[in-house]
Amino acid sequence: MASEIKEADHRASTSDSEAGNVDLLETNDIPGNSDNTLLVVSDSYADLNYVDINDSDIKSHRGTINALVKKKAKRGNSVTTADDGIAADANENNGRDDEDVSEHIDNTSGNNVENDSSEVSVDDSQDDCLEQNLADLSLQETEDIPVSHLIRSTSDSDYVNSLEWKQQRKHIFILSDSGKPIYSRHGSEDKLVTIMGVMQALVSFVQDSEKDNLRSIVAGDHKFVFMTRDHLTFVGISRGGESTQQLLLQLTYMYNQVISVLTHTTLTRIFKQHRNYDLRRPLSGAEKFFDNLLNLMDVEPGLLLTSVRCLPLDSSVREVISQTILQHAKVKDLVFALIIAQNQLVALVRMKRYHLHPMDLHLIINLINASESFKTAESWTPICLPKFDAGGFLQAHVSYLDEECQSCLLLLSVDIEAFYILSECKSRIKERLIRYNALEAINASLKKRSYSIQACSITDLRHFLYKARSTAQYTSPEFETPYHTKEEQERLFSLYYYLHDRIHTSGRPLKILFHVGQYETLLGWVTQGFELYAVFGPLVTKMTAIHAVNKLLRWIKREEDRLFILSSATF
Amino acid sequence: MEDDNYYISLCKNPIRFEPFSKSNNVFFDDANKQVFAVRCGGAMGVIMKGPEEKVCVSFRMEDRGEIVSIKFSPDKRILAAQRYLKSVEFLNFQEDLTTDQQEYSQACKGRATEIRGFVWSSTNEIVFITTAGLEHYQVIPEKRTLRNLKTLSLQVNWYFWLASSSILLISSGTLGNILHPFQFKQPGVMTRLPKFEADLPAGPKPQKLSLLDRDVTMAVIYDHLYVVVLRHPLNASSGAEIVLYQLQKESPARKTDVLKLDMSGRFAINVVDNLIMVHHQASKTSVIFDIHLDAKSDGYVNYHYPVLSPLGIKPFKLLLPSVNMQAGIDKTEYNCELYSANWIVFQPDIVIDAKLGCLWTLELNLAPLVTMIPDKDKLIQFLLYRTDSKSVILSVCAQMLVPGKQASLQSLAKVYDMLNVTYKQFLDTETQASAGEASIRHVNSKVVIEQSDMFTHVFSVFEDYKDIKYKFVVAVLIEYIRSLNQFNIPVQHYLYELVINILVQNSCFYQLHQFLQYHVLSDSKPLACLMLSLESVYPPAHQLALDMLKRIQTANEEIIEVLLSKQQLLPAIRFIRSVGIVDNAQSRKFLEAALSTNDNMIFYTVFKFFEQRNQRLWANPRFQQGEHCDQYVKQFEALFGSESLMPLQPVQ
Repeated sequence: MASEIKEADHRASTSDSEAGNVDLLETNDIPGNSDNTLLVVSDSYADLNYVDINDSDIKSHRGTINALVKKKAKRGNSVTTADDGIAADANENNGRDDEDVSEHIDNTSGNNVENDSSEVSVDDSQDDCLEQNLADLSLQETEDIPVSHLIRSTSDSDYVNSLEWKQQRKHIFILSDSGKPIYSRHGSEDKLVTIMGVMQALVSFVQDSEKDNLRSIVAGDHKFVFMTRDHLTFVGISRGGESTQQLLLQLTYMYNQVISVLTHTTLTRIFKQHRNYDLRRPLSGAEKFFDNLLNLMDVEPGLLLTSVRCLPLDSSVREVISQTILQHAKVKDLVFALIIAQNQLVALVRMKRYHLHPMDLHLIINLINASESFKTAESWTPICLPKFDAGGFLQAHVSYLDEECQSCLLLLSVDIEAFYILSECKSRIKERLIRYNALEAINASLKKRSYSIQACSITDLRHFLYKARSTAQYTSPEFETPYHTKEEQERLFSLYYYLHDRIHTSGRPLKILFHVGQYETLLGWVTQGFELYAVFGPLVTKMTAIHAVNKLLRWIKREEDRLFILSSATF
Repeated sequence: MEDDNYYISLCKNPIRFEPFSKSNNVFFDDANKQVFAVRCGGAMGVIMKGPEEKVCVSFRMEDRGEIVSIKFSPDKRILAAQRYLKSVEFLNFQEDLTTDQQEYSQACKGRATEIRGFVWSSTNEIVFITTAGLEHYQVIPEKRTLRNLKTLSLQVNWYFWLASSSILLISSGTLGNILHPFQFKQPGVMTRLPKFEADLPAGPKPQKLSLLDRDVTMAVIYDHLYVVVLRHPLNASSGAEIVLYQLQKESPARKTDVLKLDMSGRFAINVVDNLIMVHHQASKTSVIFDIHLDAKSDGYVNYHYPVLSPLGIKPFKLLLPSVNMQAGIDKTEYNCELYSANWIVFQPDIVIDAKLGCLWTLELNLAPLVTMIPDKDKLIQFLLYRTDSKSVILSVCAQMLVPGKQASLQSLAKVYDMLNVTYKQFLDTETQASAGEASIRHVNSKVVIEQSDMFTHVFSVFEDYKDIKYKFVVAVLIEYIRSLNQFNIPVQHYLYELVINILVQNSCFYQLHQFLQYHVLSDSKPLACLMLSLESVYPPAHQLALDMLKRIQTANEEIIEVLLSKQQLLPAIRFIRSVGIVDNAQSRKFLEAALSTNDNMIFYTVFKFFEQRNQRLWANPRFQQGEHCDQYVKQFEALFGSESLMPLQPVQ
């Protein structure tokens, strides 16, 4: 244990040097850990470096849906349900490329829902759009922007030079590798054609020479991070404290969001056919997902930690909820069933052998978060989960269980026509949950907000993030004084970014970091089982901080049933 | 200037007495330093003048023959006079020095013995030195008798009495070179010290008395008692020399020093201010020796040469009432003849011209010496042993810094070391004395040059001469500080301040920084405050000051003040925690400073810190009434809400 503390960065730990060894808690009793994992445990952050950025990741996950569909088809054949068009189609397409199958699914899904159920209001704008784009594609219609258009109007450059635009804390751009603008977080991409051109020029200039890749540029306090995947260039520019790796993670989320809307298959095919294609068209309507995802990144530590926060609930209540789902959603082809409330996971039931990746869960949360339309009616929407299968869509039945639209039930299936079956399931689940007072319990927990740091009764501990690695879940208390203002919360967030980066920096990963800052003292501690980032008052000594952390771990252990989902239910 | 050329002079106001003549006998009692002018055997009156008397004392005695020797007892109540070879007469005196004229007498013992002389060994004890030995008597004036205390048989050639140390030296033996010292320290006790033999140049044949009383004297030099023997050369080619025998308590006197005169002829020896002053009649010059100056040594004896080349005594002009025929002038200036044959020299520093009727004491003028001794080391060493040399030393030190005459740093260093050796000794005895140690304080004859003297008289030169390069100034001061440090003498703050001011005036901040960092300038509170005041011109001075305060260890309050004034709340709190004075810290002061930062996070932290302290001290996070923190509590509630206050713990 002593050796661990030695590895902490001594430069950061100024003052208050106490003699003697600081005993760290034995870490064999890690709170929030469980063998029965619910989410895919992959430390995507640790894996994240430029070497790994290729499509192998995506490809390895491809075909999951296909396999499920095949299985279903086999089953369908044996049962011989004639009306199962998709299965037949899929069966027919068996020998073909994966792409085609999924594309087929795409097409049919949109059509089917639209055609068959007029009463269901689907958030189908994107589908429509996609539909149209695909139509465009087939027409081989390429829209070439004239050169004069690129070096355009002074008003555009004025906008780029405006103080408001320049002073944004973080910019995210997506452009195609022909330099066409696709997305910009701030400002309209139309006006940023020139600057995007410059960015693409930078990227391609470096790429031209010997398979090099432009990774990042540091200019003053600004950091430019570039990521090129699937003919798309993602650029993140920040003057916050994010490290290159952290920005890269954020860009990866953006990429996943693109995949989530388009699927990897479609994306590659589009660019295979038209290098110059304007991807804004198939993505139109998806900007709100990008915007929302970026906003979520600024407030939700789960994305940084690639882990999910669970709504604190008594384990018995949670057991009731998951059992209810398990019993009343026993539908074939249902892969995942989950309840989400205010960005927190309430319960998750999964198909055996299939796990949900936290990154995918974040995309689901983002989907719910970004769309107001789900609140008005049950919806049936396709969603691609890149970690699950980047090649195809899952169908999501989205509905809110209560009037206040707090708890959202998601039923994810490979069956495009399962809407009505799932809708029935939803009704049954809702009825039971009301009967067992489970919804009440959820709402009560939501109203109570999470929990106060004072609950741990550790003096000088101001805030913390605790991530149980094996379950990919994290917990943290509410923001309280002195982090009661937005500015302070942002500052705290950037502290976490700093601490996270210092610990995970690829050059010199640390196990423990004790950092005395201007306003607070940070203690980061990473072991096999957990990651803990604690924020103390600036006057805390190393000794007391270690004691406090040990105490905190004991407290979390005591509360783990409430704070984490330790057992996963499977169909 | 005339003064510049002579360093020995006669005192300005000699004691005047009636010159020696046929009808007037003059006696000098060197024990009491009294001059007696006896007219006609006393019948015409005896006039006595001593250093204590402002006017002459005169009285009459019956003329019973020619007086050979006449001496008052130390309290002037008994007069002893010798008229005959075998007896001494006594006469009692009242306090107002009147006498009843009734004499009583005491004869020496033995038929063939003769009295060679007598000395008062204490107020009413007298020692007769006879040809056969010593006779120690107690005088009982009331009974007008004497009581014999002790008689000692010894062949006596001559004797020498050093009253200041109550030492009687008796010459014995055929050659006269067996010397017996006797000490009369306590009344009634005669202590015989070990005898010793003064070595003589190759013994003459036939043997005869060759060590004469005129060549032997005794003196106290640097607190040691010496027998000073003038040794004449065998032939004219070599010079005479003076041999010093240091008297020892337990063992025979030891020959310690030899003073080389390089002259021959008649000499007279005085001791002035621990210097041996030798007058040479033939050349009418004098030389001085200082046995503490460096000398050649053969392992046993130190061989000294004169400090300076021979030089005459400063001419003395006597204003005389016109005794000669030149009427019209009341007083005439009379140039006294120096080194005259009429001069008689007494120890330690008395010169009498019996013909002229003058008694002088010799004086040493230090100022002319300064230019005569070019070697500053030697000069300072010499001056340090002199009394009243302080001003001269200071002026020498000052001169060494004046442009054009600047001494090298090396010699300055030597000089400062010498000054500080004595300074340190002085400080040590001071502390011993103040510690109440019963030890008799050793009277140090050396002059002490303290830091304040250096500061006001020597380093003030830098103010007077603006063209001295600051580098030299700094070097000199650092050298002095170095020297003080070497002898573990605490350096006074004003010296540091001087160095710092000079450095600051010349923008040598980095040098200053290094001096402080390497503790050349020792830490002190005033110095730290000075550094704080320099922050505006040299920002790092702030941290230097803080570091210094921390090292002083008694300046916690100051450190807190400094930190709070800089709004460094967290360092201040860490500091009070590190020195363990959290419990007594004035929370109000901290909260006030925290609020003034306009930084809510800081205020929050400080407030929480004191809440925790309160909780720990009083099991209650609220501030005590006496701390007057209400307004800060209100402020806290306004900023963070009252729910952010630490909840009161239920009483257990």
